[in-house]
Parts: sequence; structure tokens; C-alpha cells
Amino acid sequence: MTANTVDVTTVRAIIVDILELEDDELTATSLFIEDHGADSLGAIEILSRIEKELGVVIPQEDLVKLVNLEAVLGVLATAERRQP
Amino acid sequence: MSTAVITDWSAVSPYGTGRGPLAAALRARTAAPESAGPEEWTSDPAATARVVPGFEVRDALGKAGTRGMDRITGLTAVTVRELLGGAGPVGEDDELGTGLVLGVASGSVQGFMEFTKASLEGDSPIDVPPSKTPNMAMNRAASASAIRHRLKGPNSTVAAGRLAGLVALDQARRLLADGRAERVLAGSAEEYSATRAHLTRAAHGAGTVLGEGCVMVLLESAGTATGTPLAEVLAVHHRVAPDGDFAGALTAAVGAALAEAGTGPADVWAAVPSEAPGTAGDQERRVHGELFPAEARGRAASVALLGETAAATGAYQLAALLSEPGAPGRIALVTAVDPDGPVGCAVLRLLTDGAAG
Amino acid sequence: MSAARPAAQPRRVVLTGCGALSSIGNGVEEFTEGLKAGRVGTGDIGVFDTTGFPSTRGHQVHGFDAAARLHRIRPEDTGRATQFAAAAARMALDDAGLDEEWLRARRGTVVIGTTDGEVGELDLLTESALSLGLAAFTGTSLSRTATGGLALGVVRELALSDVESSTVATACAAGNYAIGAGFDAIRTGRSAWALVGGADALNRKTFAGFARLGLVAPDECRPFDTGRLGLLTGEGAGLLLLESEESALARGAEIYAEVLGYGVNCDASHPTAPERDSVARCIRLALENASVKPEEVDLISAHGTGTPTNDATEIAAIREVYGDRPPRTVGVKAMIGHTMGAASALGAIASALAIRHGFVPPTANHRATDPDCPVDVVPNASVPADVRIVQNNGLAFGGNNAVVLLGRHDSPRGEYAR
Repeated sequence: MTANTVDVTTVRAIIVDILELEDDELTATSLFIEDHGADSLGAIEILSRIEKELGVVIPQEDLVKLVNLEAVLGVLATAERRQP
Repeated sequence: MSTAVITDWSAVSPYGTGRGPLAAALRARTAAPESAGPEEWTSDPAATARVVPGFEVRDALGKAGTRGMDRITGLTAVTVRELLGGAGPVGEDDELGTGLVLGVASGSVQGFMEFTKASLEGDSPIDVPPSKTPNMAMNRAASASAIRHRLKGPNSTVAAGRLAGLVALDQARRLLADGRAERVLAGSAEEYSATRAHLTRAAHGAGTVLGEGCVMVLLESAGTATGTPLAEVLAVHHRVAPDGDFAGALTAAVGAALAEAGTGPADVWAAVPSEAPGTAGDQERRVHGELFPAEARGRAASVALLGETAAATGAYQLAALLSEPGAPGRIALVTAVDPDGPVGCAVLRLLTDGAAG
Repeated sequence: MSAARPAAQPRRVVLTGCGALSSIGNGVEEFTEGLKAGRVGTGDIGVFDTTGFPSTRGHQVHGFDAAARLHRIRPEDTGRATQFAAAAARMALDDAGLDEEWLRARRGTVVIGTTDGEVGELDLLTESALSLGLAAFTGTSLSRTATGGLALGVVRELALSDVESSTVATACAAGNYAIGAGFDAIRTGRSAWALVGGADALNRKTFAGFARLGLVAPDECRPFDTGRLGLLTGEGAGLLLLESEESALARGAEIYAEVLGYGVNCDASHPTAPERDSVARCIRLALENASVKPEEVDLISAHGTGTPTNDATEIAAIREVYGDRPPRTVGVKAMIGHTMGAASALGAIASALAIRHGFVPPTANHRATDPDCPVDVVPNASVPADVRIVQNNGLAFGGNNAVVLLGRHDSPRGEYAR
């Protein structure tokens, strides 16, 4: 299944939690690494938590695209569902 | 081998952070307080141990770079921070740099088992916590400490059970003698965890009281030390007991170490055993009884005050000697015994009155 | 029992016995043939249940009959990594033409490098605890899961006592650390012999971790390739018997190679990513320790994991030291997988075999060399070559780097199998 309805609230909450931000610090385009001090493991953690909590599979090659909230939502919109 | 000297040391122990609380408690022969361990998989809420009270890695080290960091890494990194006194290492741009040798038993058994549990129980077997993946390398504690303080010399993690502290000390002095580091932080660490408690009690009895902590010493070459020498490491010797003959192997190890140090049992001011559980410990005490008079055996604190501290034991024994007041020039030794077979001995010359702790 | 006395002059250290367990063969002969043939040992992992993993491929040791290879330690009492270490130690001893009595008559050193120790046993314990609860923890669990058990397994298997033993847990550079420790022990006269190397067994924990980090290749490991997509986890052991040149010549031993020196340092920078300048510094430390000039090095056995970051960083570090014309640089992990703590030990054995038998093992699975990795990787087929000095790299998580230099030993016997 593609073209998902994306649960923005959940995605925001995951990112804010992993990057240890106040909710208003995260904007659609604020950059995880440059603006929020994340490292490469932070991006993997975001990918991993989203996969788990939203039941989707994000291809590993999309990892490099996950630079900000907007980009995460973009990748999620076309992500495959996890196999049951 | 040109001798190495200990010019500083620090610790994180059940008595608190830094060497002061540990040294004072060891001098007073105060048993470490028991308190509740961390809440984690398989933990019993009622269980207590001689843990570092209320130790939380991120409270102790701050949030930067500590997400997912395991307890043994936290204990080690705090000890290294205390030892370096907040200041960066001296002359880190020099060619050899500052080394670090950490002795461990198996790292964070709890962390490894919980990681595997996540894989077994997750919807997908790769639903493991990414923030904990750096812990999966057993060198995390040593290498994370190096990262925090930019220690670019040789960085090693040696696994040798209850011998870990002695083996780390030996490797550290070799790095100096062989010209591979300018100075070396050496010591050993053990974390308390629910699974380590189950493993230890299943092996050594339900009544075993567990302890944890980390002690690190700063080792420099005698000729070039910049700090005030607290003790000189004269010899370290270790070997393996065949077929349960701990006494025979330990006697040989003590003999070899004293010979290397150019001294004999009669010159030993203080002898500190590792208080191994079971028959290994019985034989270790017997050897001390045969080799050393009662005064020498009673002059320094027993690490039994700290509970069964596994890999951290050897480093705590060094702390017991470094904490004990007395005239400069005293010869002191520690022995170590592991129920799996390894035995060893380190001989030191104590160079201060011990009050510096 | 004779305690080795510190030598007045540093001794030369030579390699006279090799023991190898790998996905391309067990024993030094099979391993040599595999390297020469460019054999690739990839297959489906059967050591644990791989159901649900995105990839199930890896490099498993096959045809390992622990009961037949081990004389004293009982396979049912020990984990797979310890069995590998002990069996490979026995192979190295036999290969050196030595026996247990010879070892027992002299003080020795046993150092085994590992990434995971007996984490495979902890995986099994975790499964049992999930089904049985605390009854899973039995009286032998502590010993079975102790990391120090790897070195101790070698000591027990060979019934040794006057031996200093430790297990070095510096992750994927641990094999080279162990070789370095043995080198210093022999060079200074502290030990008469050293059995050193590395061992690791495939396990769920590490497989899941690498998969989660996205570091696992879907099909094959392709070091330095434009299309490289990651590593494949592997298992095995590499054990080396080291002794002084004097000792080897006195007993008429065949010498594979001389250990010329090594370097160790720490990036102190990032938990998982290597740092170019620091790796280059480690290479310089090793060259200096070995008194070797860069232009004298004929071959580099790279760490070469096949991950995008490692390979580009490693080659940049090599070029920082060697300039625009680095020696041939090969990644044997394409053939044997990433055997973790055994990796640099097996790399050192491959280096010694290259010297002794006059060939360069290939970088297998190769399609097109990445412009970011501009070196001659000796793609897919081994080539005959006069190999005199080899640099063997080991780079680990935590920035623990170790580089070993091996050189041809021009033995008075002058009899080299070619």
C-alpha cells in the first residue's frame, strides 16, 4: 500500500522525543543534524521508531533523505506497509 | 622494564563519586551501603546490592552523546572525568598520546540480553533500539571515555573476569615500557544488573552480595612522570590454575611477581586478597595465611566491604592500598583469583603516606 | 617451567604456525586454496533463526566438527566462539610443528581478540529466560558467557598453566591488538611463545544490530566497489603461533613471515564512523614501529568492510600516507565476510600466506572500483606476485585502530613453497 495518510502528530512526537527537543523547537524545515545536533544514529533511530510505531517499511536508501520533518513526511507518504 | 608509577587515581563507588569518599570509607573499614538496583528486565524490586546509589548515566554525564549509553560505560566515563579533573589531557597533540586500558568481565550483560530480547520479541527481528547499538561493541566504555576526553593513544578493553584489573594494569605498564603511549589510564569496571545478579548467584550461591563501580589510575613512566608518584608498579604476573589447584598456581604467581620486584614475602607490608567466591577464595586466603603474617594481612581494607565486584575487584584492591596511611617505601601486593582458573599478583611500592586520598 | 627473562636486545618475532576457520575453508591449506581461487563463502545463516530479517545471508563456518578437533574442552560445556579459538589454536600449534609439551616447558602468552565473546550463549540464555524465567540461569551460565573464556578455552584445551592469558575485546580490530600484544611479549623476552589472534561466532544480537544500522549488504560484500551496499557478518577464527627468530631457527621451523611491528591508536571522535587522519596516523605509527618506509610496502590487506563510509575513509587514509601511488589494496571480507574479532587475525594470516606463497588474494565480487576508492583492488582473481612486506589493517567501532606489518623472512633455509 502506498500514499498513506500520515499521522503527523505521532511523527512529530517521535522526532521530538528522540532529538530531545521542546515541541516548538521542531519546525517543518528545521534540520535534524545542523539545527538540532543529531548524529547519524539519530536518523536511524527516527526511521526505526517510525517503522515500528506506524507499521511501515522505509527503504534503507531513504535514510539520507530524512533531514527534517517535511522530508520524513514525504518519505512516509509513499512507504510500504509492513508485512503482517 | 622501566617501572611505571601511579600519579593519580579516581573512582565511582557505592560510597559516591571520586576518590575521596572511597578512600575514606576504605580507611574506616565501612561496608558499602546496600540500595536498590535499577529497574530493568528480570529485576526483583525488593533486591538490593552494593550499587552506586541512584546512579543514572545521563544525570551523571549530561545529555550530549549519552542517549542509550549503558551503565558500565557511564560508570567508566564518570571515573575518567573525575581522574582528569575536568581538564583535557596534557599534550594530546604529541605523537603517542594518552592510552586507556579498561578491564571488564563481559561488559553489559543486561544490555546485550535486552538487545537480543528486543530482536526476539519485536514485530520485526531488527526492531532493536538504534541508540543502543554503540553499546553492542564491548569496547564502548573505553572508547566512549576516549571520545569524551580526546584520548588518542592506544585504547584497549581486556576481558579477564576477576583478573581484569591486574591484566589492565599489566597491559598499561607494557604500553609505557614499549613506548606506545605517553601515559595510560588503567583500571577496571563492573556494572550491577539484574541479569548479572542472577548469573552470579546461580554460580556462587544465593547469598552472594553484588557490588559495582570503577577505579582508574593514571600511570606514567617513572623517569618522565609529571605528577607526584603515589606508588610504583614493581611487578605483575598472572597464569592459570590447572584442575582447581588455585593455591599452587597462586603461590607460583606470587613468587614470580616478588622475584621480578626484587623482594620477598618478608618485606611485604600489606597483602590484599581478591576475596573470590567459593573454593578459589578459600585457597587464596590459605596462600595468604601461609606466606604473610597476620599484621600484613590486616593492614589494608578488604574488598569484601564492596561485595562481589567481579571485574572491578582488582582496581578496588589498588584503591585499598593507595588509601592506606603509612610511611613511604612500603611494599604491598594484591592477588587476584577467578573461579574459572586465572590467578595473578601485582607488587607495588607505596610512595606516599596515603593521606592524599 | 622456565620463566623467560627480559631480553637485552629486542628479539625478532616470526610467525611459524597458522590456524584458520572461515567460510572458505578450515585449516591453513583450505584457506590458502580459497584465497588463491577467490572463493566466496556466502550462504544462508543457519546458526540462529533468521526468520523475518531483511537479509539472511552471511559467512558461516561449515564442516567444523568440534568434538573431533578438540581433545580436552568439551563442546557441550563451551560456546561456539571458544570452540573456534581452541580449535584454531590447536591447528596453529600443529602447523608450527610443535606440541603441548614444548609450550608447557616455556612461559607463554595467549591473547584472543573478539567482538562478541560468547554473546551467542547470551542469545540462547535470553531465549530460555523468556520461556523459563529465572530458572534459565544455571550454575554454569556465568562461566559459559564470560568473555575471558575465549583465551581460557585455548589454555584449557592445551592444558597450559605458566601462561598469561587475556581476551581483548576491542571489537573489529581485536585480532590485530592480540597480535601486537604477542609481538611485544616475544620481542621483549617476556614470553617464549605466543598464541594470538581472534575468534567470533555468528549471533543474533550483532546480526540484528548491523541490520538495524543499515550496514548489511543484500547480496554480497563488495569492498571499494561503486555499488557497495554494506558488509556481511561472518564467523571464524585466526590463530598465529609467534616465537623468536632465534627459537624458530634453532628448531628448524618453517617461517611464514616476520612480524615487523604494529601501531595502535584511537580516533576519540565518533562511536561508529572511522576518522581519516587518525587512521592515517595509526598507519604511520605501525610503519615507524616496523622501520618500514611506505614505498617498501607491496600490499595492503585492508579492513575493507564494504560499507560506503568505511571504505572511502580507509582509502583516503591510505592515500594520505602513501600518496598517489598506494600499493595494491585488497579486501578479503568479500570472500570470508566480516568475521569481527577474527577479521584482522585472518587478514594477517592471508597477508602471511601472500608473502610465503607469492600471490595477492583478490577483492572478490568486484564490478567497478569506486572513484572515491582509487586503488588497485586486484579484482576477482588472485595474481602471482613477489610480496615482501604487507600492511594489515584493523579498524573498529569506537575508533580503536590497529595496524600490523608483516615481512618476508629470508630464512637461511631458503626453502619457500611456491
